[in-house]
Amino acid sequence: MAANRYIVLLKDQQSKSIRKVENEFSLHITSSELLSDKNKSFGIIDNRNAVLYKYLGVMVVDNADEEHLASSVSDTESPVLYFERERDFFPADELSLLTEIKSSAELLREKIGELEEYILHKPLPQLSTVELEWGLRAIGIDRTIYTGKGVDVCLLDTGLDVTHPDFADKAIEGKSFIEGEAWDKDPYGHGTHCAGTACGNVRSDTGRRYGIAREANLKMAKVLSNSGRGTTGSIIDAIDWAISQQFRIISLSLASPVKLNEKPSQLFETVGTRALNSNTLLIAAAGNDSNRPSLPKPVSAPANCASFMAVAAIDSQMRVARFSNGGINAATGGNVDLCAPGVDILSAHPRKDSSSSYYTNKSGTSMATPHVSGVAALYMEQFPQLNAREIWALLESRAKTIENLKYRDIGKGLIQVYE
Amino acid sequence: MKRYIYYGVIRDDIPFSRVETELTIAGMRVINFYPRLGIVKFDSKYQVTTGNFDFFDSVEEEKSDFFAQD
Repeated sequence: MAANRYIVLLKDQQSKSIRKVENEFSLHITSSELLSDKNKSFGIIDNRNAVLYKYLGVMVVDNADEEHLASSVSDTESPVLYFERERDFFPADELSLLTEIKSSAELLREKIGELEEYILHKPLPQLSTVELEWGLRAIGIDRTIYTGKGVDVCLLDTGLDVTHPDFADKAIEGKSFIEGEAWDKDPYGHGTHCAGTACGNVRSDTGRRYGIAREANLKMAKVLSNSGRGTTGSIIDAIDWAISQQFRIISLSLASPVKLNEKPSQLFETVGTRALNSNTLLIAAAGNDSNRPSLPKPVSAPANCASFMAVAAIDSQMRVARFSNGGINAATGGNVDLCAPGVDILSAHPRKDSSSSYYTNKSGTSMATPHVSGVAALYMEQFPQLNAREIWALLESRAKTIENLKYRDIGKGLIQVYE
Repeated sequence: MKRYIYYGVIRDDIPFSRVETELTIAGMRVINFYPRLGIVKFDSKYQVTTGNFDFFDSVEEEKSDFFAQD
């Protein structure tokens, strides 16, 4: 069996050090000064006999105990400074180099062939062939298989046109909190548009997708009148109803403006906290009172309460929407938590007459809010064990910051599906 | 005669029965009680503030300026 030869560097060649090494490793060390034509090193070196090369300070020995050597190197009292196993060196002649290059080229040719085979025959990626509205592309809807199935999403809005072809075959529950106005009609059109973004699917005419959580259970609470206006009472009544029904998400595409440095409503703060305690997540529009690039207006009520998730709007160029409010009442609360697409958002709309479209574009933080509500429903389907607060934290942790945009304006960033 | 509508957030240690009694004695009317939220909706002939009550954490008047944000 071939011996493993070791090169050991010594600190010095004092006789005391030499003796110490001899004792420690049970060796006899011969100085290189004693080597000659008749007394060659290869005739001496074995596992009991080493040769010490005087001018190098290096000892050579066979089959040394590596662990023992390593231990000596780390021992500052030991004369052994360093060791390594003897290496093999080969002459670099031209022919052997050429042979080596040929061998490498052959291996490379094989690898290129394998790669070519893979590229030519790789399976198609599982991408949807359905065209998507820009807002859905921005949140990465094509990167999730979740549909919000089984999650109850309640919109507090102007009502829903239940005759719209995209909702006609759905079982939708609703309740009106506006006297004399029905939840299942929507002459204003706002609620139908928001419902389409949060819980719609594809356009019945072109097949283009505009909705997020298409298998969520859509609930409509009419809290805004047919002119788009509501009261504290209608909103509180609706939230109380939604909590009593154990709906997981309440989406509020509505707002009441607040003044600079105005404190959040303790009433809505309490309602939001109790909703979260009941495992219901409230998601609200940050408000449209701003006119950028002037200093934005503060986040509106009730989104300015810490227990409500406040949603700002961005456009398709990843800019903050001109109208979107900002977190400028930071001292009293009222931060933006997340942002979502809210400019030129196409979604469902009640048809005014037989010649008009079932779809329209709208802009506002109202349009950004149902994007977040829809994505929250996907998360709740994907992570049924998480409570409302944990879903909130996860939504924020997965959001993407946008270059050059401030926390004040977009919070933790653009909402994203969970991949 | 105009009556003002308010929402009171009931203190955690106060039972609704006491709130109802004290509001009635003060000439106010309970319109609704939301036990899940710990909130009372009531009306009053006079304008009131949180400082008028020791059993509410806060009192806010009904607002009617919530709008769709489109």
